[in-house]
Amino acid sequence: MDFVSGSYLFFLAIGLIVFYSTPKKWQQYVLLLFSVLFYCLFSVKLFIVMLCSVVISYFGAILLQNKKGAKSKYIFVFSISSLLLLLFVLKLSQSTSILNQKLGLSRLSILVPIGISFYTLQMVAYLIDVKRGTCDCIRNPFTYLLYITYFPQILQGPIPRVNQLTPQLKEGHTFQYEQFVGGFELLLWGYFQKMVIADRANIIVNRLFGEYENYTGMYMILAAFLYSIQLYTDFNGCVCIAKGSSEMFGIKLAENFQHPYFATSIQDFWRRWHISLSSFLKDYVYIPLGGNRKGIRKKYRNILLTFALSGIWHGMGVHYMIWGLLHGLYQVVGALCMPIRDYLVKVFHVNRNTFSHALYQRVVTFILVALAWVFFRASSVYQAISMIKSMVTTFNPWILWDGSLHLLGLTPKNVTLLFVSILVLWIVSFMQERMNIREEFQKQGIVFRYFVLLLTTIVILVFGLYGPGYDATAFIYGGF
Amino acid sequence: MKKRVVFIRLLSFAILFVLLFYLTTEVLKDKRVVLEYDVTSKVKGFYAEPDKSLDFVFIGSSQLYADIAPNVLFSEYGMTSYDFCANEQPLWISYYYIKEALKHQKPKAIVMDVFTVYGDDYEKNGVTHINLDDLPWNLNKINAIKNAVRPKDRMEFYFELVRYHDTWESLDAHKIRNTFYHKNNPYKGYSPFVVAHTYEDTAKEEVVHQTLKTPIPDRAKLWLDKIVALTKEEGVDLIFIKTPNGNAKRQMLYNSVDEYAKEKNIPFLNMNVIFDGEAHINVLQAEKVTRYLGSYLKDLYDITDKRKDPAFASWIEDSQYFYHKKDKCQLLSINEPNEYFTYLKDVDATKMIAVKWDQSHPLSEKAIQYLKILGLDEKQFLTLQYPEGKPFVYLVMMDGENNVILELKGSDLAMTETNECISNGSKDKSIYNIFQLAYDLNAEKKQTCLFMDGDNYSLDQMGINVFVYDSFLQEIIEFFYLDAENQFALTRE
Repeated sequence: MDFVSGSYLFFLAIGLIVFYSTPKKWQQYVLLLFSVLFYCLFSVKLFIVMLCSVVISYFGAILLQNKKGAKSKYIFVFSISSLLLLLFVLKLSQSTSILNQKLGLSRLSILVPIGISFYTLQMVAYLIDVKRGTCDCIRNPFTYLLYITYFPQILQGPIPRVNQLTPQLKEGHTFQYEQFVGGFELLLWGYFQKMVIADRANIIVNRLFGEYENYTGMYMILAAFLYSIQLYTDFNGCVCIAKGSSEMFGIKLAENFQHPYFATSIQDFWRRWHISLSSFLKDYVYIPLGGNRKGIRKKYRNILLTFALSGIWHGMGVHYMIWGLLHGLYQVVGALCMPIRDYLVKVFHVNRNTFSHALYQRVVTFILVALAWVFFRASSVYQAISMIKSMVTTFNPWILWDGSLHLLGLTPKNVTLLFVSILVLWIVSFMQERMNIREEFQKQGIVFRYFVLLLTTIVILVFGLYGPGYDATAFIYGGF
Repeated sequence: MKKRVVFIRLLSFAILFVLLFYLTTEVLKDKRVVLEYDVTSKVKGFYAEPDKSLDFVFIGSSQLYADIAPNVLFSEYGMTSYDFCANEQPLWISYYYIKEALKHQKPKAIVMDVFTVYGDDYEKNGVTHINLDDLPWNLNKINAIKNAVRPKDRMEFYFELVRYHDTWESLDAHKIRNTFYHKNNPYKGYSPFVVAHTYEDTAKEEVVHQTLKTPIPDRAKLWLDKIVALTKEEGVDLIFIKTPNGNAKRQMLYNSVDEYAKEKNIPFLNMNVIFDGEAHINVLQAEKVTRYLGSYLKDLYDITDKRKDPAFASWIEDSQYFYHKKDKCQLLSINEPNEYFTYLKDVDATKMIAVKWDQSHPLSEKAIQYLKILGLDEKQFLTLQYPEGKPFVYLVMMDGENNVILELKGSDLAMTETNECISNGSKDKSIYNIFQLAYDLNAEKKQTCLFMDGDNYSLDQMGINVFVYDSFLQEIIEFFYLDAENQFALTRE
C-alpha cells in the first residue's frame, strides 16, 4: 500500500476510528494489528522475512540483558552480524538481480523486504543500546514487534530510538483535537511536497538523467538542481505523511529534516538532512570509532569511514560509495582549508555575521550537495562525471527562457506550476527557519485555518500527479 | 475541548470538504456539449424533460442516436420520444439507463437498439466514462459502475476528480460556464450528422441474404434477460430494433436476436434488412428511417397526437432545429447550381453573394439565371460604372426571405470600402452576428469580402462567390463559388 493512494487514506481513517474506540490498554494491540496488516498488504512473504530479523533481535536483546561478560559479547556479535549479513545478502542479491536482468541473464526471484535498511538500523541501534545499558530490552514480544513494524514509519523512517518511541506506543491515547488537526496539516504538507513537486520534478529529472548524452550545460545544472529538490520533497514528503499520520494517533515521531538546503556548511547540512540516520551514524559508528578524540588524522579517517558506510547503506553501487565519500571529503578538505579561509577573511575584512556571507555559504553548500547528488542519482560514476564535466564546459543559459524547458516531458503550464510550487516550498522553509510555523498557524482563527486546509487539499487533488495514465512513482527512499 | 465542539468542528470541515470536492469535480469534468455525438447534452437533456411526458424512450448506442430523430416522430406523428443513449453503450449500462428512464417517465414502450449485443467484456474506461459521468449520483449509477468497470479502476468512477484533475490545464470559460449543465436538448438526444458515411449499394443485399447465426455472448444474454425482466416488472413494453448499419457479419448476431425475441415474445424491428446504411447515417437518411419506425410504432400503439397540445408547443420550435439541419444537409449534397439555387431560395438562411467578372470572364446567361432564381435583377448591377482597371463587382446580402438588406455596387464601391449589418435573425437575441460587405480596392488578393464576425468567407473567384449562414442554428452552412472559368460549375474548396 503506497502512501499516495486512496487505499492508504482509507486504511488510516479506519485505523484511527478503531484506535480511538478501543480502551487505552488495548490500543497498542490495535496499532500492532494495523501495522502487521499494512506490511502484509505489500506481501505476506516479505513480512515473514522481516520476522526472522525481529526474532534474532528480540531474543538477542533479552539474552544480552541477562548475560554479562564474554557470553554477552558473542551474543552481541552474533545478533548484529546476523542482521547485517541478512541486509547485505538481500541487498547484494537485489543488485545482482538487477544486473542480471540488465545483462539478460537468468532472473532470480529475490525477496527484499520493504524498508529493510531502515528496520535493520533500528534493530542494530536497539541491540547496541541494550548492550550499553542505555535502555532495557522489551520483553513483551508484541510491543517489540510494534516498535519495529509501526506502520507510519516502517517504509522510510524516521528511524526511531527505542526510548523515544516505545513509551508512546505502550501508553494509551485520548483523542486530542489540536494534535489530530496538527497531524492532518503535516499529512497535507507531505502530500503537497510528494505529489505536486517531487513527482512533477521526477519527469524532467528522469529525462535528463536517462538521456544525459543528448543534453549539455545548463540542462545538466537543471538536472542537478531539480533532483536535489525532488529527492528532498520526495523523502521529506513521505516523512511528513508518516509523522502526520502518527500524530493523528497521538504519537510523535522524531524530526528528520530541518530545511537542509538552508545549511551553511556540509556539517550543518548533515545536522539537518535525514537526522535520524545522521545521529545513528554519529552515535553508533563515528563516536565508537573514536570520533574526534584521537587526533586530527583519526578524526578525518573516522569521518571518511562513516560517510563511506552511509553511502553503502544507501546502495551497493560504487557511485553511492563515492557520494558518501564526497561528503566526507568536503568536510575534511573544508577543515584542512580552514586556516587559508580564516586568512582570506582577515585580509579582505570579511564580516562573517552578515546576511551576504550567510547567503554565500548557503549557495556554496547547496552547490556542493547538488553535485554530490549527481553521483547518487546517476547509474554509474562515468555518467556522473560526464554530467558534471558538461556543466562547466558548455554555456547555454538561454535554454531557461527560450522554451527548451517545455520539451523535457512537462507542458509549459506544468513547468510553471513546478517552479511556482518550488517557490512556495522555499517561502515556507524560509519562514520555518525563523518561526515555528505550525504553532503560529494553530494560533490563527478556525475560519482561516479551515480555509487554508481546504485550499491545500484541493490544490493537492487538482495539481498532484496521480490517477489513470500516471503511476505515482514509488517513494525514492522506499527502495533503500 | 468539549466532545460536542470537536464533533461539530470535524463535521463542518468534512461537509465543506465534500462540497468543495464535488464543486471542483464538476468544474473540471469534461463537458460534452458541443459536437453532435457529445453525450452530456443528451443525458442532461433527458433529465430536463418534464416527467411522464414521453411516449417512447429509445435506448442504445450511437447507432441509435444517429438514426432515430424524435423531432421527426413529433412533426409527422405527434408522438414524443427521446434518444436516451450514449456511445457504444453496453447492455449492462443500458439496463441502468432504462431504470433511470422509468424513474422519470411512463412511456408506452422502451425501444432498444441491439447493436451492442456483441458485448462480452468490459468496455474501455473512456467509453464507460462517457456513458456514466453525466448520470446523477444515485444507487443506479453506483450499481452501473459496479457492473461496468473492473474493480481496480472503479475509484476513478466513484471519485471522478481522480480522472479529470489533470484537465486544469485546459480549464476555460466554456467549461466553467457549463458546470452543472442542465438544458433542454432540442434534438431530444438525436445527433444530426450532416456529413455521414454514404450508403453502400451492395450492403443491403448481403445483409438480407445472411441466414447464418452467431450466438449472443453469455454476458450480453444475461443482461438481455435482466432488461426483459426489468421492463416486465415495471409493466412497460419492450421493443427491440436494429437501425440499418449494412453489416452482414453483424447480421448473424441479429439473426440470433430475432430468435431470442421470438422466444421472449418481444417485437423486433430489424431495419438492417430494410434499409441500406452504415454505422452513422446522415440527417436525410435518418428522416427516412425514423419515418419508417414512426409508422411501425403508430400501428402498434394508439398514440394521442400532441402537435396541437399547448403543453408541447416547445416541441414544435425544437423540431425546427432538425429541419434546419436537414436543409444544411440537403444543400451540401447538391452539386448542380440550378438545383442548388432553387433549394436555397426557400431556405431560412442569410445569403451573401459576391459576383465578380471582367472582359475575359463575362457573366453568362446561365450565371445570370442562377441569380434571378434568388430574385436578383441583373439590371441592378450589369449597367453600372465600375472603377477603372478593376474587375466588375456586385456584393449583396439577403435575409431568410430573400429580401436584399445590404448591397454594394457601382459607384458605392468607389466611395465605400465596407458596409455592415447586424443580423437579428438569431434565435438567441443576446447573440448577434455582424455581417460586412467590402470591396478592398488596395488589396492584391481578396478584393471581394463577405465578412461575418470579422472573418472573410468570400473565395474571391471570378464568377459567383456564395456564403450561406443559418442564424437559427448559428452555423455556417457553407461557402463556395460558381467558377466563371469552368462554365459556372459549383466548386467547393
